[in-house]
Amino acid sequence: MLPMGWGFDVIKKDLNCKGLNCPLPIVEISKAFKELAVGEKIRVTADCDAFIGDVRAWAETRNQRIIAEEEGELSIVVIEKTGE
Amino acid sequence: MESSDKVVKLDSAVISIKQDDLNILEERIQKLEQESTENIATMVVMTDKVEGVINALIIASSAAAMGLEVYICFNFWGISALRKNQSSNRKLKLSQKFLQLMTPKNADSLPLSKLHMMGVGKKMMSGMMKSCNVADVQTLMECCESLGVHIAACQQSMQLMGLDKEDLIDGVEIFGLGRFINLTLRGKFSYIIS
Repeated sequence: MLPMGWGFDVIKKDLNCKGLNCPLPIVEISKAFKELAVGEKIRVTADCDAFIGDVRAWAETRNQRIIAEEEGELSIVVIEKTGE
Repeated sequence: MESSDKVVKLDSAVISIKQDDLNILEERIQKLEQESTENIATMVVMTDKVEGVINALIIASSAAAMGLEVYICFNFWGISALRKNQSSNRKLKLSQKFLQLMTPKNADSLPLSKLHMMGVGKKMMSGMMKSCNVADVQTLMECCESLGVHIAACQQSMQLMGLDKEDLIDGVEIFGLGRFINLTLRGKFSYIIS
């Protein structure tokens, strides 16, 4: 489990993508990012196998930062918006 | 010390460059900027088979999620995926009525390219896809729309089948080839799904 105190108190949005297969998780993340301001964080939960690779590639292409990630049957990722 | 002679202190260095060389550099930068590609992707969908359309929409929505501006154009049989389930009151030629009758009426009735078996295969496949959480055409269309994917229809295919803008789902743009090629040249990739 991710340790407490990793910015959990300032997570702006919790996105549940359980049951969604690629590419829907990164589609949902893109949509949610439009409502975030720079510096705000979002936590995404998904159970798709390709999710963790997808979200890393997404963050690299879109120049956003992944703060925390937990890989497993249920993957949890915390992403910070660092730009448009 | 010898090594300190070679160290360049950038804040106090003075670089002198001739105006001609500067002009040449500026020209080269301009040329590079013109030739670099924008974040655009174009796609053409020619097929009305459900796996082709799903494939195209998955690629389009993923590309849009990665930040590209996606233009996806449906032509020939692909235009069946954009039809609304309504009969038009306009006068149509017999050939147009025939085409409209014999092709899928909307995005939910697109056939499988293999094992369709008069609809039985499609129903089984839809059930299997649903249990594996594979998105269906409607969900993917909504994803694309919410991410700003430009969905377009080909003017000539519409004329062939006697379809008008009202017979297609909302938000469909009408594309010409000039605009399409211009976007393809400026963009990063272009796919045709046939």
